[in-house]
Amino acid sequence: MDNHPHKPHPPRWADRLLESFCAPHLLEEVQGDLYELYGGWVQEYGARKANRLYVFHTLKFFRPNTMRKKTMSSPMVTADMIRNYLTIAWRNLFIHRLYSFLNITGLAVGLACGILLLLWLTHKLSYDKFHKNLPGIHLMMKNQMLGGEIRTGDATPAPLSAALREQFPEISYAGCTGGRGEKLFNLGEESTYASGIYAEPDVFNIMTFPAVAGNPVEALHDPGSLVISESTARKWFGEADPLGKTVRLNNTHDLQVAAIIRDVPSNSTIRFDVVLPFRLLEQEQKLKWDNYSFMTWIMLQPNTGQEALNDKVKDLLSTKSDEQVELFAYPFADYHLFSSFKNGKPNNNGNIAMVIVLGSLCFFIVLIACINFMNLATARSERRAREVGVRKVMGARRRIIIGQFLSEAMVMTFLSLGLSVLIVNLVLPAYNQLIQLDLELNFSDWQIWSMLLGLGLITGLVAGSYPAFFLSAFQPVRVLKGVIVTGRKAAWLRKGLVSFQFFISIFFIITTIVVYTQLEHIRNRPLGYDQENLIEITAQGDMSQRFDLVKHDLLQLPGVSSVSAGTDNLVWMGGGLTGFQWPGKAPGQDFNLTATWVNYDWVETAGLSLVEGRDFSPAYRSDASACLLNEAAVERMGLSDPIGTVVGENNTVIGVVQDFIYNRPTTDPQPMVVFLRQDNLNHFFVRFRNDQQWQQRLAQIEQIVKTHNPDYPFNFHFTKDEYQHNFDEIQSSGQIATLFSGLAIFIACLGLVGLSAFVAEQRRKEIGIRKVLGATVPHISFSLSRDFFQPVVWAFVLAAPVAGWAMQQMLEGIDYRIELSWWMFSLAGVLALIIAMLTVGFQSVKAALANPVDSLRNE
Amino acid sequence: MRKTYIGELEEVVLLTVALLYDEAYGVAITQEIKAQTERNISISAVHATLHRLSEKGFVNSRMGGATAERGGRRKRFFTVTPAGSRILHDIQDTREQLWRQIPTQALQWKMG
Repeated sequence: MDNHPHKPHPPRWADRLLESFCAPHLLEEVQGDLYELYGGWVQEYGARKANRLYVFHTLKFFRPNTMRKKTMSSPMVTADMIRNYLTIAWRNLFIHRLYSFLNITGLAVGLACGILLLLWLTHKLSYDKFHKNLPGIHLMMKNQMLGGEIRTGDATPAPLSAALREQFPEISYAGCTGGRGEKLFNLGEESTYASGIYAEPDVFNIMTFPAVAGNPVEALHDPGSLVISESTARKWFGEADPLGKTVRLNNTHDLQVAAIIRDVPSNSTIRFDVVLPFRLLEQEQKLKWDNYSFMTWIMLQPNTGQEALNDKVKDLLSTKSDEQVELFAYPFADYHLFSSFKNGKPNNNGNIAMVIVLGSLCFFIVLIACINFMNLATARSERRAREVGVRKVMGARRRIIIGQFLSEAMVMTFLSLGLSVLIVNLVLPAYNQLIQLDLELNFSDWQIWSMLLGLGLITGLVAGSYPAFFLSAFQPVRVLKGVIVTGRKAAWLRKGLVSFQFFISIFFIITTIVVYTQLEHIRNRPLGYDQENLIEITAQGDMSQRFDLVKHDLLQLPGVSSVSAGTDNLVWMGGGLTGFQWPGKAPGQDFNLTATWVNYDWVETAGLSLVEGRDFSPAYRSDASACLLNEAAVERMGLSDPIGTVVGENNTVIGVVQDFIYNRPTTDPQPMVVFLRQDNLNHFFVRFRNDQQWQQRLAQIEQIVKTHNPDYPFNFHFTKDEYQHNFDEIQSSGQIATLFSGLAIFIACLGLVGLSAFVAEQRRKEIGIRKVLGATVPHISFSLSRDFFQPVVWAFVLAAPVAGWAMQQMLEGIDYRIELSWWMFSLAGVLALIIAMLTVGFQSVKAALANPVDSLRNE
Repeated sequence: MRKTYIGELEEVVLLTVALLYDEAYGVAITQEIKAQTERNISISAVHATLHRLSEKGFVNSRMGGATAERGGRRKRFFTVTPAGSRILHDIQDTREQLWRQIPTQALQWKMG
């Protein structure tokens, strides 16, 4: 090559442009001519003009004559090639059994988790979608200023639906439901409970609960009819025709079965087995505008916006009651997921939070599995390098090789998918029990198929893309010479991926630790009353009228120490008051005060304690208008000397009860006021001594109750059990979280095993030489493992703050919470490190124990 | 009678190819045309013409003669085929035939 000074070169982009559109067989001469001319132009006009001329003339070559035709390259996917690919793929699977097994298993487990979570997610997102008119269905909700912030609720008064129907033409149907709960039904001799709800006829015009027989809308107009579900009909009447049969509600009303509906599906926000006509409720109690205990549903006329309606109905409630209440319509489609409000706006704390959390969990687990795949595939690339080199020499273009590896990845993914479906089928019953749902992998449903295929395709593409690109980039010359291809960049990427996997795993470990600690904390929260040895009996029929007699009889029993009654069952207090008066109340100040009515001896029976004052006593006639407050109420009201103060509607405070936990165990005790009442108390409390004969005692109690109330079954609960139910849901959430965290870590470890095995094998000769030179086994194992500790440490350093922040956010919403402390994070870190050490260590030790003779034999 | 016709540019290019005998390639042809007729034909037009002629069977081509100037790329040299030669002769004969029959007055214009 002669040393001439830097020769001007035509602009490279123009060159590339030419190369891209020119037909290959003409390219040489065309480009050569252009170069030759360029030389002349440079000499005649100078470089700059020469460049312009070059570009100009290049563009002029953009003619049909010179363009490349559609390359009719030989079809690369002949049957033979496919057979070759399959054979190679199969051979590879078998030769490297360990890696294949790890890869497929890890991917299968990840996919199984993904499928389980996707099943739950689709179920959750499908709530209420079966209603045909869902876009038009709205629930009336109210906003109220309480204690300085806006409280939103869905409880409305019964007369609201009629008012809406009459006054607003935008509303095509309006109906009201309420009184949901277990109701007693007598069919002849037997009595049984069924979950029932009172509903106005229009509710069935708004919602879609298809009828199997009869007409539910008509049926509900008649206060002597009821509507039941198919399974209830079968349970009550067997195979006989249920229409026209009579059942007795609560031993008081005789109702005829007038219509049968299909069972309410599990993805419905309101569930029931029996529908009772709302008229029935209206007959029993006078329902006024100040009784907010019902849900009002409306259906808007098509093409009516809810904003317009909201403007009109805003003050409807305020005019009817003397409180400032803002009424608005909330789309039912959003209700299930977004039913949690903050300051009048739906926030992300309701069911949607669960959806988001589990959705991201699903995503991350599948991602970890994909990363595993990527890591293992690229690590093993050495073995495939020569194959790639030969293929390229034989004429395969990069695109083809990418296709080959991508399809190998796809095959592995679909194998894993098959395995994961098996796993899901095995695990599904346990999973269903855990989340208390009835999910199934129904293969006749096209949605399931598309979900599975989609999952497989996406996973295969994601997992296979990086290795495919990485492997196909090998240059034949270097590879066939045997140059070590995996350079520093690849190793760095691998460590990064491992780090990422452990980041996610450590995050989950920390989360699980915190969640469990918080759960235990709440469980061990002192209740403020004695839950042991306390039962609560639901009073049915007119038993509440005969309380004094029942109490007298019960107290005769040995071991029964105290009996009382109340309107609520201690664990759940629903009643609330607003607008309560107390001395020193500032104008505009208000808060929700829980209210309950009890009989004498309530404090003692419940095991509560009085901080000041005394309990209600029959000795004082004035107690009929007296009340008790709890500590929180006293504090909120700012009463310095509560005993004797007159609050509310002329009620004298005679005692202050120590705060106790009710409703949600996570919140601080809310203020409560307790009044005296002697009748209409639905819950009886009996406290008895705990000793060997408690079962007999229970039988005796049952006897007594039965004598006073022969028509009804004996329905009682241990208060302690009731309380524990609160935790069922949280506990199962905790279990799910732990389960999936464990799985995430498991998959990450699978990846580690594969990687460490691979690295150990790569360094076989090095280890052999070291041993020959006198290194000890521990020394070698350590040096092998050290490479893997770094990513874990990094992962911890990054995960701890992120997890800490996330946990802090979660705990903010809970009043009775733990403080995040160091031990939670250190425990997670140590756990992760131990797990990493175990997985890596095993392979390292195995490698370190190898006989140098074997590894150095072929040097 | 000729079965195919060639255009004016094609004829000029074909004649130049014949003229350059064995040295006829893209750049040379372009430069020769420029020198002989003062016409500035772009290299792409010449290439296009040559390929049309090749498709019609009037020229043959062979590769050869790479130089450093061309970045090591070879040139495509064109030669006239017997068919090409025949058509050139045909054109020439037709022209001469027409010329002989033109009366003197038709093309006499005094430039005054």
